[in-house]
Amino acid sequence: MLRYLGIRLSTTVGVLFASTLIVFLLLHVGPGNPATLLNGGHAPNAATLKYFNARYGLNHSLPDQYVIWLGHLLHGDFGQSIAAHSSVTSVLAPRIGVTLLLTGYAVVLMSIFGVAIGVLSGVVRNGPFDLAATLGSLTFTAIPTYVTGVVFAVVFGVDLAWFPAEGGGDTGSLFTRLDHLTLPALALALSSLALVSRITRSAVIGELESDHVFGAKVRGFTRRRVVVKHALRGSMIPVVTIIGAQVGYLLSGAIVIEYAFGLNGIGTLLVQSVQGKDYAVVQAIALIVTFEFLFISLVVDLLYCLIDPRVRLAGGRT
Amino acid sequence: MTTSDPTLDVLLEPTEDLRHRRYGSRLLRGLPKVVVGVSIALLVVIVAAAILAPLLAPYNPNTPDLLNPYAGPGAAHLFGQDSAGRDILSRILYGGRLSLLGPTIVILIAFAVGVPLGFAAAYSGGWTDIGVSRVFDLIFAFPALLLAIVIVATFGTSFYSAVFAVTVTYIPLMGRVVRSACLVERQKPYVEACRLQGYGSWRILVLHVAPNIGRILVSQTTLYFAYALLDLAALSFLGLGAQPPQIDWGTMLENANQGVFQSATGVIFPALAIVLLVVPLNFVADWTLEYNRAREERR
Repeated sequence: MLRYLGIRLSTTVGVLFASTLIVFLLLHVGPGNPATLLNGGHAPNAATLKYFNARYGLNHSLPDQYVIWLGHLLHGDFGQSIAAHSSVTSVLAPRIGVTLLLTGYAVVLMSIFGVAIGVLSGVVRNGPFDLAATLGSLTFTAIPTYVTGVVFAVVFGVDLAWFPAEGGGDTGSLFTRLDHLTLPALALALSSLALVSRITRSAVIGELESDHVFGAKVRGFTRRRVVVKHALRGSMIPVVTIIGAQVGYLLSGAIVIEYAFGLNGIGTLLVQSVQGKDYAVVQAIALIVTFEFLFISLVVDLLYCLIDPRVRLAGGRT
Repeated sequence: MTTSDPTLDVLLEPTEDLRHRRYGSRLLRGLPKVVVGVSIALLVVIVAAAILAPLLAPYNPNTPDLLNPYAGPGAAHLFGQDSAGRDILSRILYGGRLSLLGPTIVILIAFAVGVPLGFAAAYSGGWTDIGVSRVFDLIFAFPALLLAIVIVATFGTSFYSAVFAVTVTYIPLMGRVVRSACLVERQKPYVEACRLQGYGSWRILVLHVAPNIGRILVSQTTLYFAYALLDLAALSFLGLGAQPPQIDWGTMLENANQGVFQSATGVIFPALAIVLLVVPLNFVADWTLEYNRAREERR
């Protein structure tokens, strides 16, 4: 277990390191000179250029710039935002909560409802509930989040006015914030929720047909006990896999949903920063989301070990 | 989900690629033929409508009618008018052109680059395989959409940089499918039989393995086409893809979303256009896969 943890941790750190290199290089090899950009699109004169290069450390060689940048990064310094004229950290700080709350809310909705619906349809296979769930998930898995989001905003936000359709989601009490985030979180979670329920359903059905569940039935356990204690536990590996994969998807899906609903999260900021060529902010957000993504895959891999001890013997999945 | 190599899992359940996940098309097992027929018909109609847009469109898609913004559907404008009073029907028809052209370019390039890389990785093994696989893994370490956004940030917002960005994320997807499929095929008896007859590995690859993998590739490519369309539409929706006066469904959806409080109907048509293209594509991909499975079992 420890050995596996060690290997897994070191690969994650390695990939994280490589991802900083990629993000750094991508935004440095692209066309467009930062000094020109800072000067409002006009090529600056020699003195200004010298000033800019010194001010933003552009007079160093590319590898040196990378090392300096990485050093600052390790100290939590993401550099300066051109658009906001302040440090990237101070721009990100008030916004990251919205994104985390939105993604977390969506993950909770997806896991609870996805697994519950999946288990129920698996248990009452081919019943009316199963049929309705199948049709529902068929529809929603095929529709991308931004379409769901836009349509939800129209139907529930504008026409029915059940929930606020617009608003930052960054002010007020936790309840107000959650109220603002309900529609976006639902739109974000829906297609993943449908997929999770499908996978859960087939996993539960597979387990219910297995020998060990048959054995439990033969021993005369109640149906509830057979389902909860025997079938559910065995069906958790594919469910955890799909939930883990979907969390990764929700992280990037949140970017689009925030933009669609006009939320003040880092996703909206990322889009604005790309449009405004505010590269330091783009780098910071790209790294934060990638870090979250890698962290989630690490957690999922470790969960396998807890759920299924055989994984340890096999030397682990990579 | 039992093999230790996740790439093999992907191959064994090609429609359930967990990373690129949006649809659970596995539940469509035993898809009725009617559904497939309707899907193919719908796809043909949509493609034809996009190609014939100049003949079919009742208005110029970019001619504004500022006196009638957000006008609802009516006899003169079947789908209504958008924020600048432009005819939504004409814009849907013209928008289909870029919306279909984008994923077509993505898939062609991803195929041309990814397939040889996958073959090389599986067939040469050793350092080639390690090198190619690590590069793929590194691209997979980023959420696909995020990587695409960073690439667009690098090259500036335009239709072609969005296409390029999405292509970068699809090359490893394509390569991985080919690599896994090759590794599975290589262990089959017919490959061994060929080898015993003294055929060179390239001959086995091109004449024997490739046709067998081709069937998997067809359904996978169809599915990736649908995904690529959605990814490009997402970038356009974020304002990072096609720029005005270019039209695609993603930009239309974004435009309608901005004016959602004035007119809700504007949102429906681009949303419907995307869904009516993507859902049938999923059905068709699933059907080709099912067809191959049945074929495989008959042998």
